[in-house]
Amino acid sequence: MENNRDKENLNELFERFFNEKDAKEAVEDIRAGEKILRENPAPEPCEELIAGIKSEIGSSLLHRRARVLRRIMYKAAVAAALIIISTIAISLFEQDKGRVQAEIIPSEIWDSEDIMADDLNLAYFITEIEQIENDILAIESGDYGGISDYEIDNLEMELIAIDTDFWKG
Amino acid sequence: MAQSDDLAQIIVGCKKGDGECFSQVVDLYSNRIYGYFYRLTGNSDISNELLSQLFIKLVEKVGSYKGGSFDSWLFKIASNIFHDYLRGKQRRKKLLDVRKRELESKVTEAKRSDSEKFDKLQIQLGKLDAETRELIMLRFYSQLSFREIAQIRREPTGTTLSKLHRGLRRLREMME
Repeated sequence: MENNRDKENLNELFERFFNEKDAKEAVEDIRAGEKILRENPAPEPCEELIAGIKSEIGSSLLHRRARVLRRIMYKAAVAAALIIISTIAISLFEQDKGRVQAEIIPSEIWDSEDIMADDLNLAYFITEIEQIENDILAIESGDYGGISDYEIDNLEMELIAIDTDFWKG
Repeated sequence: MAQSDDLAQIIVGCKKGDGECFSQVVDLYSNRIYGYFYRLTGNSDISNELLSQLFIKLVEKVGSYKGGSFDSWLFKIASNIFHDYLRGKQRRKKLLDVRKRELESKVTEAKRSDSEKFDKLQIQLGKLDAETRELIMLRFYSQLSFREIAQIRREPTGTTLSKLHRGLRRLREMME
């Protein structure tokens, strides 16, 4: 394998920092120094050491795999717990959401003017109010014949009761 | 030596946790890195230990290799391991009193003369300052360019050039 050192042009590199003469001397010094190192090689590691290192790497890899497996199992357990919690939370939310939806008046009823078709109770209620309004107007104008104080009291009581029911919803 | 494409395939295998690929990396680099450690420490037992540490670290860290020169990346780890060893050695030294240190050095010298015969180069390298010695060894064993070495050492390329030039010239003078 050609390494980056072999690709390096020492003369060019040294000439960036020294003048031409000094750069040439420096390159010669470096080549001579490296020649000494090549001629005096360091001892090599013994085969037992290399075999020992390879075996140590093997057991280190086994430990690493066991660690990775433990981490995966732990993550899977956490994920399962999260899924269960989410499922419970969603089902609770759905129940809650159903109740809220029941209380909201649908927009088509809200926007509609045909009260009779939309809500029969509301239609009855409006008719009653109109009837009472007519009675009051008749009483005030004196068109309503033969009315007693008792009947007026009853009418007022009825109005109060309707008013109370209305605000109670 | 493996072509760069082959090396890239081997590294991909290492990242997947393939033991065979790690074995190939050991075969490719053990001689050079052992030489680097040996020339810096002058001790085969320590070099054995540091070489083992390096390859175990490789298993742990290969996932963090993001491309670029693998040699540069690996020798950076080797350099860090050597510096950790030096720091540990200094800490141990501080724990011993002067008398103990004297005794220890005598025993070590005696052991060394029995078990290891230093070559001339190792003796002369011992006379260089630690920084220059490390720079020369990094350049020789890593086979990196000056620019890559300067990046590892976090210094300008001109500084690396100048230090290495002075160091090798001195070594040559001592060896003559």
